[in-house]
Amino acid sequence: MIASFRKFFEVFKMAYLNIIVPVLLAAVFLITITSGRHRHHHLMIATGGVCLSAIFLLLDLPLLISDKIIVYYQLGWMPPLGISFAVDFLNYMVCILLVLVAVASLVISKTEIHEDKREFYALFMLLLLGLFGAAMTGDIFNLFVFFEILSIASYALVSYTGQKKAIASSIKYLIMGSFSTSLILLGIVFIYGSLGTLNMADIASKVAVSSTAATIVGFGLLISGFMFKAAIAPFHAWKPSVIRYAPLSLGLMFTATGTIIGLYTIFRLVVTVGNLNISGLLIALSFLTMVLGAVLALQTQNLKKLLAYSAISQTGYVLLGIGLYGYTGAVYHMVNLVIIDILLFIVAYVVIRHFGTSNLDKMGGLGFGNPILFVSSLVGAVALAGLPMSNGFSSKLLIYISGIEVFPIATFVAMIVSVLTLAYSFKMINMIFLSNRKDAGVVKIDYDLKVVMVILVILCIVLGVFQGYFTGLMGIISGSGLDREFYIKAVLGII
Amino acid sequence: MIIYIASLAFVIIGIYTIIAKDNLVKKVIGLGIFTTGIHILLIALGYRSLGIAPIFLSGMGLSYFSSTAVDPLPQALVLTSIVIDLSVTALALTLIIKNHKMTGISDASYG
Repeated sequence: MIASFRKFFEVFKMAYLNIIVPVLLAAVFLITITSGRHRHHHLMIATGGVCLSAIFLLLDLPLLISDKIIVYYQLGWMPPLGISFAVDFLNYMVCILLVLVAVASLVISKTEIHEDKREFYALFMLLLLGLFGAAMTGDIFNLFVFFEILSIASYALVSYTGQKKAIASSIKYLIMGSFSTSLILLGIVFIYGSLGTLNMADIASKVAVSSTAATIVGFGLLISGFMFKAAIAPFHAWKPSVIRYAPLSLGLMFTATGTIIGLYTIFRLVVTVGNLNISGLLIALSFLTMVLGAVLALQTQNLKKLLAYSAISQTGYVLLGIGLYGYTGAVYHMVNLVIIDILLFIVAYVVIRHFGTSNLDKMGGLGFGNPILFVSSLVGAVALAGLPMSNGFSSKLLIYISGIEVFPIATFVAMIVSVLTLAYSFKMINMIFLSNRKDAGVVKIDYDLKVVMVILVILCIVLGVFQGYFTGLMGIISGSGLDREFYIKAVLGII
Repeated sequence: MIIYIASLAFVIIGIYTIIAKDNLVKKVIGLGIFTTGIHILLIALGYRSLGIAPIFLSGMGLSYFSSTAVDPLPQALVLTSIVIDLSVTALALTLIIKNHKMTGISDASYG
């Protein structure tokens, strides 16, 4: 029985092919076959690609649970020679989060992208392809290639609206972004030059034995390149302007997926591959990120910019968790951050569409006739600030506890930033829903957006209330990133 | 040795151009110079004096091949990276031209 069950799921073992190929096929369809006549077909093809990927992802789960890691050797070449794809619980969670974000931004784009633009969905699928590939690969040069795919797709997507400001911010993003990916390439050169391999597991097995100064420089360059994608403080400047001028569905995509993939790669490189002892640096950068993001979010009067700065500030918490060796808290906060981001971006989309502007000064008074909108943004704000009974609280608590054990000042700073977060998130609530304008009326919310909002609010509360259970789950996920010996052996095929 | 100095010079000139020049086209040229410097460094890693092309012929012994052939991997990496660099440059120039047509400005200080 179990054997036949296993045989059935072995078919889905080619994790890389099963998850990336539907998205790739959707992109190819959108570029070549479809015509501009039928409006909803493009969205349908894109959604079909994402859903197929999600189904294959779920079918991979039984095998993942029994084996703890799924390794796919491309064309059968074993690791030091060929490119391998390795999916353990950490990669798997990242893929699930990516699917979640992609579905949410497709739902927003259904009403936001009015004209029939197949280019939009084709680029969107290429972006998703790059994200999935970067999340699953076990080879640093392949990681660089997938990063370039997702970066190029996102440069093109930022300028998609064709407005002057959008193109200007896209050019800025392109120059900064390709500079940072060049840094990644330079880091790869240093690592290859000093260790003679590109496979992550092989690097991990060699880094303890034959690491030189060049290896450390290489890791530093790689991590600074990925910090750009995650918008960690010295490299955060692209995010607000990009999100200000891109459509909100893309704003959500860039904010959430950039954070996910950037933080995942930093986690993987620092903990699993490099086993680097740079917690002091990570803590310093996370202080800068948290404080800067929160202060800038407090002073801005633009809703989109506020969301961008708040995402930057929250990214700092995850980095702080990694720096304080509180990996469970870091992973938990990453999940919560993505859920809260999606919720707040949907609220922002509905509100901005209603008022026709993203200026907070011109909003107000929505709280009286829109219970669903009000409650969901209230839950989002509470979770963002980390008040008890919300998911933000349970993950921040874990980070605080690991801070008290390792470096108490970190906990102090993180709590201060939490207070700032409370201030700006309730500034947002106040200016949208409570200020004295009474004629704001009832906001029209589409049925599917309503469903997504309700699901996310329930997720926020469930992740907060059943804290013990989810802490255990996140412990398993982060543990799979921590278990270097197992990762090396499994990918190199020793066991 | 000279090749490492050359690649370092390329990288420094590229970074200087990206940071110091205001014109967007010059910034893109700077990016190209920067990436080229990295490519030179990568090619230099695989170099071996008096090395042969990494093609395994039938008459060749394995030890002879492994001790004389150059490392083929950096060349494959550079080829991939050149293609990526080409597409980034093309996209950047497209956007800059579009920006110039709409605003008449091609300086980074705008906006």
